[in-house]
Amino acid sequence: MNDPSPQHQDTILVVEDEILVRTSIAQYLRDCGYRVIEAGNADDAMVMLNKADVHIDILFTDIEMPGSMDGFALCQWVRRNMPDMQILLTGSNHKAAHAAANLCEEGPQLKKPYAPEQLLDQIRRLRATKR
Amino acid sequence: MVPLSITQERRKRILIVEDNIALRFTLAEWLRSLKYTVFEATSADEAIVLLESPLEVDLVVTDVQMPGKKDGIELLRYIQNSLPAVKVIVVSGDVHEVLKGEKVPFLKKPYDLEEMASNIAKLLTGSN
Repeated sequence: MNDPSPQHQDTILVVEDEILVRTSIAQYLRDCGYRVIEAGNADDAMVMLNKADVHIDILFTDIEMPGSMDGFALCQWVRRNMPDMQILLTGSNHKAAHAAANLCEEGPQLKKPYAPEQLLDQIRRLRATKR
Repeated sequence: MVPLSITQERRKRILIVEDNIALRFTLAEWLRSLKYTVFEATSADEAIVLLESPLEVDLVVTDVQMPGKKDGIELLRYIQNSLPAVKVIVVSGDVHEVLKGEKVPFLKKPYDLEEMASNIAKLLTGSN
């Protein structure tokens, strides 16, 4: 892997209800130098998004999740309220992923199952557009 | 930071089991700043999935009251029966009679992060 370290420590909010997926991807991103906040559902993610003392650069969320909000609703809320935040979506449902592309103008999405390296590549591309 | 190489010393691994995301994140970040590898579970059910995976957790910090099929006390019993080498610290806003007389460290919420770190260091000293 060539220079996996981000320019400064970007913070990524990972929203994923599958514990083994969430843990492994969060740990991988930490090993690559990112600060990672783990949320098991959109409601928990909202708690962290609303904390004034926590700055989040990227929201990486699964589309299908239990709780009062799914990944779509979460992204719609972020688009409306935090337009500067970058969003990456993942999901196993192709139709959902297509609709997600319409929701997020930046469009990147990862179809499950994805390799951690694919996610890292997407994050780097996304951050490059901000620099 | 590069992915952990096999030549580096293995950091101690702590699993935090807490459904309150803000509390969990605060403790997790504090422990990461102390150079522990920290995993996070939002319930006892999630914790058991991680404990049965190849992560090799050294110590578990668990809340008692959490959503899901099992609570923190049941998680403690599971660890005592199935993974006796794994150390446990229980935290809760309430005092639990069932824990009285047990050797398991108990910290009442809100706990002090320094106190938590000192309890963890004590439990992990000498365990490999």
